[in-house]
Amino acid sequence: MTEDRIVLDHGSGAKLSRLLVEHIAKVLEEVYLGEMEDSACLPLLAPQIAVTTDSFVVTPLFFGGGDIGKIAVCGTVNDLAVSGATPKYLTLSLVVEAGFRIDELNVILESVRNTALEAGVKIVAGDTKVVDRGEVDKLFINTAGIGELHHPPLSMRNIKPGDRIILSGNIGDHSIHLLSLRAGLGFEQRVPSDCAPLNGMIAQLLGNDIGSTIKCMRDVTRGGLASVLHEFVRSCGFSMYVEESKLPLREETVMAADMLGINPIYLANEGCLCLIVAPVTASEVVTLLREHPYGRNAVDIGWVSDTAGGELMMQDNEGNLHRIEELTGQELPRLC
Amino acid sequence: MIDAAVVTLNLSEHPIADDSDIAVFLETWRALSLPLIHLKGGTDKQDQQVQAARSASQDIQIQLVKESGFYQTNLQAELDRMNIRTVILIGWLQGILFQTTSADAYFNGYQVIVPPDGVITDSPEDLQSLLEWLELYFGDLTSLQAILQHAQSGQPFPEKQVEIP
Repeated sequence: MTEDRIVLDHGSGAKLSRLLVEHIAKVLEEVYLGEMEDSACLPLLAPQIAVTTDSFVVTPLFFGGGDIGKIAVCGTVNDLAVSGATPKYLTLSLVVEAGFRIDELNVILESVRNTALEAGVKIVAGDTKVVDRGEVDKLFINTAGIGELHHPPLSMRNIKPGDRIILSGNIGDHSIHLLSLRAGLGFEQRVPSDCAPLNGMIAQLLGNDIGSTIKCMRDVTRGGLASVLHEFVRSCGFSMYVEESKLPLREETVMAADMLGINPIYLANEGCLCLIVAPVTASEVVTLLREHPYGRNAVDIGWVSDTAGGELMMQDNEGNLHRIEELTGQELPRLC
Repeated sequence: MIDAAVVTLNLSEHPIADDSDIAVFLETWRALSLPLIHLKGGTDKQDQQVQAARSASQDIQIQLVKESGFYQTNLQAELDRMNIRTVILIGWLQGILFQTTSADAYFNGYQVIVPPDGVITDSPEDLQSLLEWLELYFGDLTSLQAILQHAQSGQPFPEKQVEIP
C-alpha cells in the first residue's frame, strides 16, 4: 500500500478496499485462511461446537504487554476455552476511522497474527469498514470464534458444596495499567497488563487426569472477580467464601487501587482464570497451573459452602466476614 | 551534602500568604541554596510539550502533563541532574497529584518526605487519607521545622525502611 493513512475509499468496496484487504491478508500471513469468498467453509472434527463473539474498544489502543489486536484475539479465544472448547477459527472485523495511520494498523495486525499463532487459531473471514473522522475513536475490532467441543461443556451447574475456588493469576493489573496510562498516574511501568491467550494453559489442565474434576471456569474480565463469583453463586444457589489474604495481588496494584478508592476484586483482567474445582484435586490443579507461564501466581482463594442462599462472603485478614456486593454502575469504560 | 529537593504542587495557581509557615519554609530553603521545583497544573491540551524554565529566583518551573509530576515531564531529569535522592512534597492537596507524584518518585528510587503541615487543604478527611496512605506504603511524614533543622545540619536525610504490606 502506498498511502500512509486510511481514507474513506479504503472502505468503499472499490480498488482501495481490495488493496487494503489484500494488505491485511498479507500481514496476517499464515494465520489467514480466507478464500476471499462471501463465507468460509470449514472442517470441524467434533460433535459439538462452541461459538462466541466480542467487540473491542479498548483505549488507548497500545498498552504495556499488548494492544487492541492482541486483546481482540485473547478475549474471544479465552471465552471459547473456558467453556472447555478448543478454539479453532476466528473472524476479524475492523471499523477504522479515516485518518488512522497504516503503520499503526500494521502493528495491530501483527499482534493479531502473533497472538493467533500462539493460540493456534486461524483467521477465516473478515470485514473492514471505514468511517469518517469522529464517527469512531480510531479503531474498533470485532472477533467471533468457533471452537470444537470434544467433551461435555464445562458448566456452573456442576458446582457442589466443598468445591474450591482457584485463581490462575494476579487480579487488577490490566485495569490499573490502563487507568494509569490514560491519566498518567505513574503506575503504568510497574503494573503491566496481564492480557494473554489462556487456551494453552486450559488445554494442559483439561487434558490431564484431573481435568474431569474441574467443574467450571471463567476468564475474569469486566466486573472483575466479584462479578464472576456472583455469577457462580446465582447459578448454584450456594454461598461462597473468599479469603482476602489469599488474593493474588501485586503490591503496586494494591497501592493504586487504595489510592483510587477501588476494590481490586471489581477490576477487569485479560489473562486470569477463576476455576471451581473438586476439593480432592485443588492443590494438584494449583500446581499444574503454576507450571504454565500464565499461571505462575495461581492460588486457592476460597470454597463453596453448603449454605443455601447464594451469598458471596469475604473473610478479611482479621477473620471477620463481609458480604461482597455485586458491582453496580461503577464499571470502568473501555478496558477491552 | 544535602541531596534533597522540595517539589511544590499547585502553589503557582494558588499563592499562599507571605507569612505562612510554608512561605517561610520555602524562603529558608532558598536561602540554603537548596533546589526548589514548582509543578504547575492547568495543562494546555493544544500544547502538551514539557515546559521547564528557570525563573529569576532560580526556582525550576515544570508544567504538568497529566496526573503525575513525572509523567512526560523532565522532573526526573532535573532531579538526576542535581543528584537528588530525596523529594520533599509540599502544596495544595487537589485530586490525586500528591499520591501519583509521590508514588512515581518512590518507584523511581527517590525517598519521599511529606510534611503534614506542608499540605494545604480544606478537607481534613482528605488530608488524613493522604497521610495514612503515604505512611502505609512508602512516605516519610516529617514536619516543616524538622526538615529545615535537618537541612541546616548539612547531612543527607536518613532513608526510611519501606516494607510494603
